[in-house]
Amino acid sequence: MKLIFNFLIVFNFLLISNTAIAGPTWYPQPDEAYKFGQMYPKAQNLLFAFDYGHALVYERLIHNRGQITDPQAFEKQILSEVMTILKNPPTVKVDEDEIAPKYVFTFPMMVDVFDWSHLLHQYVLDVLATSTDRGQAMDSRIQEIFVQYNANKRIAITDVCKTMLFMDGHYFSKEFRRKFPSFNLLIWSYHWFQIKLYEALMKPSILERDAAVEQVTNEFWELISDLPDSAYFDMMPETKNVAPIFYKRFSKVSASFDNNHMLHDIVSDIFTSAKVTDQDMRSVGITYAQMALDPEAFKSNNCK
Amino acid sequence: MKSKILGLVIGILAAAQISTAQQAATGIAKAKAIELTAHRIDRLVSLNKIDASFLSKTAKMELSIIENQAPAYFKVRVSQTQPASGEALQMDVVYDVNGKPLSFNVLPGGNAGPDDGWTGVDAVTLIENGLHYVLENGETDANVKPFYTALTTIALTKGQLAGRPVALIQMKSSESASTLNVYVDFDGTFISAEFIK
Repeated sequence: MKLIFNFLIVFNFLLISNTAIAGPTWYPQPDEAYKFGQMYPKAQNLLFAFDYGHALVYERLIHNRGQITDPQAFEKQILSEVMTILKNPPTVKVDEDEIAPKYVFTFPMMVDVFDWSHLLHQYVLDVLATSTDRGQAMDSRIQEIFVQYNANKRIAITDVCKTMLFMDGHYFSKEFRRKFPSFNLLIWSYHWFQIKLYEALMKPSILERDAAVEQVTNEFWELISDLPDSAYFDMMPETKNVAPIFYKRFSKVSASFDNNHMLHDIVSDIFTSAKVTDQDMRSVGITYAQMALDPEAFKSNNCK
Repeated sequence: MKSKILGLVIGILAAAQISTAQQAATGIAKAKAIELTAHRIDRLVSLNKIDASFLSKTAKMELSIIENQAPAYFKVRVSQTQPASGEALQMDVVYDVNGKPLSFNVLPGGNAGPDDGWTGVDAVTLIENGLHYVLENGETDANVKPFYTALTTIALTKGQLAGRPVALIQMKSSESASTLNVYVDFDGTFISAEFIK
């Protein structure tokens, strides 16, 4: 009996540890993995910094829930910290467990969903940056990677496009952007940068791609140079508008990325809104992560 | 010879103008410009650049095209609820053909109107959620399409549907004689839509 009891304790511990800590593993890694960073280190390091910045903001929001009496001062303080990270970015992918333990513990499924999707983002960039064949071979390679991504059904965000109501149509929606408009625009600028990089990498020649990546990086710095006014967009940047060539060629991958970006905004709103209680937060996180995986939830009629 | 050259120049200029007009026509749909305005109001209120009453009391948005003042292309006039006397509080928002915001201007002389007391979500969110019916179906449904491509007005009032109070979002198009009514719950959930001749 004691043996069974001990087994159950160990099993439970392993289950919890697995859910809360172990991230998804893409094995084997694609041959192209992280080659984008070798070619475009400035852009790659910014992407690493975004992961750091996202995790930091989430951790601060969750730690300070219900205690932020001066949202402007709070926003200003964290913005300054994030700007320091962006200007001195990490050169490797950071471990979210280290930066945002409470966020990782509270939203284990969401963290896995994001981690898995970020790997897809990365590998698509790697293929686009390195493929010598810019036609069918490149398309097929991205498709192979996308198939592998989608095979992990437990955490793969659907590639069926969703309406904006997925992001904005809930009882807690829009709270983050209303309370922290500059933060929100910084995060939308991250999203803009990520999808604009895809468009830059669709250029036919390497010289054009190099120039386009440089230009996108410069434009990103302009976008965040004087927040909130420097970032002009009033809606979350979508692949269809920001990267129309990429969208036309890889519409399902684009939908998956846009859904990821909407889910990021949902998480920000959940952490900010007083309408979501502390007790409910974990289950709300699971509910909305599952919605991101569900092809029928908030399905748009305008899917390609 | 002179008249031939003149004819050629006029021809080139006309062709250039047609090309510009065609370029303009490839920008965003009019319904999209209204959606952008809903988000613009949200942002301007969050940044304390306009009064928060534009979020809670907006009752109507009217879209017009600005001729010959490129890059300005769309103008959306936002009106709050009608006061007992005088003009309602109004704001103009101007965009380029691709929906990039260029300017906003709160018009002088407007008076505060009554608060309709929307209990679930704010007035602008109700308008936007009603508009989503058009944004979602405008490219695929022939009846909805005129409201997607040629929306001129969207207005919010309180209505009744099967005996219960709802938000009624009414839309008009320059390419349709019908009015599109969209019914939305006070929490912003879509209920139904109908075309009224």
